[in-house]
Amino acid sequence: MWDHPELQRLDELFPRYWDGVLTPAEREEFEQILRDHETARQALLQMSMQAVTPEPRTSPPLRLPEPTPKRWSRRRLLGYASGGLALGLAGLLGWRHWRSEKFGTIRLDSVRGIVQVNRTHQVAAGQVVSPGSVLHAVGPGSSADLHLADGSTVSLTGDSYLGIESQRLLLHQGNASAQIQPQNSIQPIRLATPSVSVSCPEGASFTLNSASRVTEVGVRQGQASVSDSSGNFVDRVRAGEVLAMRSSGQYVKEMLTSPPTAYQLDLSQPLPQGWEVGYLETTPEGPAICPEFWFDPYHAAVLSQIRSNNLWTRGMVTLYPDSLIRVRYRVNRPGHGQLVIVVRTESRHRTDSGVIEVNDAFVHSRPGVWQWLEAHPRDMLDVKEAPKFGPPWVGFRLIFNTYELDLGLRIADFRVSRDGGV
Amino acid sequence: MTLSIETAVQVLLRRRLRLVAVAAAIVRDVDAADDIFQQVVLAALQQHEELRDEEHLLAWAVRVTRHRAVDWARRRQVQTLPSDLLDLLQSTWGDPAGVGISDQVEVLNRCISKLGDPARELLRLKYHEGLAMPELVERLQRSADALYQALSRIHRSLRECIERESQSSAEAAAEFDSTRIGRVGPS
Repeated sequence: MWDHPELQRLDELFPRYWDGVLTPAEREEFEQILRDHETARQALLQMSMQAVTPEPRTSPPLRLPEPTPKRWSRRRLLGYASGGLALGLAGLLGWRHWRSEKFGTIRLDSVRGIVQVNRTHQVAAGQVVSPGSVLHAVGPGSSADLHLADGSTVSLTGDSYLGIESQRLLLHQGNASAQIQPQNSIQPIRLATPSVSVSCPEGASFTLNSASRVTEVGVRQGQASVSDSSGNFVDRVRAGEVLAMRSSGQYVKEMLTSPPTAYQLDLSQPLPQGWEVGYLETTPEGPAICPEFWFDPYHAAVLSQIRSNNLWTRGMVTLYPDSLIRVRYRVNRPGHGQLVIVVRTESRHRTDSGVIEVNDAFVHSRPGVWQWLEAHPRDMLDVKEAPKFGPPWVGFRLIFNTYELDLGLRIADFRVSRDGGV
Repeated sequence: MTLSIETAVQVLLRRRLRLVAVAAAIVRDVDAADDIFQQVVLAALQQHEELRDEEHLLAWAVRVTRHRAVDWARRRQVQTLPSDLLDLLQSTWGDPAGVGISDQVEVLNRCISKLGDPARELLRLKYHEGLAMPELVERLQRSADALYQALSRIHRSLRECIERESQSSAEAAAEFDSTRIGRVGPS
């Protein structure tokens, strides 16, 4: 089966297909071979597996571990991170053997909005969380406070997933805020994401934020020890500091400060690490962000959106009722859409959050023309998920949503000012 | 009947190599393929109730991987294979029986370990380090043509090795089965 001349030809063409350097004639030949031969289609997948299989090893004899490199390749880190994710998810499978003495009973102290377990049952305050559960705070206004047997508390904020494992709590995505009591156990409670693990034997108060390419650990009280997904110590984070670890393995540690009252999204640079939905496009008039269709779990529908990275820990901008929000945008046709800013309180350790919105933002837009949308937070509160807390609000995520329709929306500028700032 | 979250995750982890390879065959970028696989796992966590069984999940995962990969490629203006061909590939790659497609990392690693050091190094630099051809030329002091030929030979030899290993595993399994039947079956 594998001796077909066409397959040998596929072998020859594959490395240059990978590099995108096939001539038009070669490309046509490559595609024709794949169309004509089922075995060639299998062979293409085989060759791709050869390219992506984890780094080859040559059955090395036992030897002492080498010193951990300070900087990891992105591929290697992603390997471990996905391994961590895999282990975390695979941990779902073995929780029938969960050792209850680790965390003891975990109880939901309070629940706001919609919180689901394993995306099937909605949970309520007072309920005990079974081992093996994945909690999901659905939508920006939802949250849950968990009470651990030793008195520690972990709070899950909106749009976040938290898995309860035998040795740790795994934040798959979103934000969690923890108040951990001093630990007497040899193996202290750990709060982890797919790429880092945080422990604080002496107790600490900290927040953890997990996005696809960056994890942030911000400490308010005490100190936390951060390790990578394979258990190698990374750094210690002290009160008032935040550590941001990128998927490349690089990290920065800096002081936490209050978010500014003036802000401008810098589109001359690539979109920030962890940007969730949407991509940067170069238009004749300059760079602009384009929406993408993605499955929004809150609306349970595939919607055309732009969603920024989640800046819970640092905050994006501090908003007052009279702050001025300005957006430079273009649509190919007018239609329904909204500008949403997800906000929290000034304290990053409180889980309360809400949204402020401009609805029908593009209904009266002029098609094909760059124009400005202007709004004040005081006029954006007449919505179901409006913050239940007073100003100032800290915006930590920006969303543009045109629902099921792609209106050809492009965002060329987003800025916030107060008293004429920016 | 729907798949439990545990089963869905178990199946996806078992098929990880295949799904990352599906993405990589389209985007030709190993890091991006890893990212796409993680997105697919998260999507499966959200939609596991809509998935009937393992076969359905694999077909669904291959389809979602394909579409995410194509989206990724379009955003970066990377030319993808035509849609009609991708339909054919999706049908082959989503086949759970996957005749001729070995998902076994062990077999692949065993075959890779049989390659010579220079060949393994070339694989590592090309795919894992993601070096572009001009960088490879400079690093290895060989012409681009020679390197493309070497890569082609490596892929061929791996393909043949995997086929041999899979065949001998199948024969060993058949022999084991016939021995067992001979022992416990009716005389």
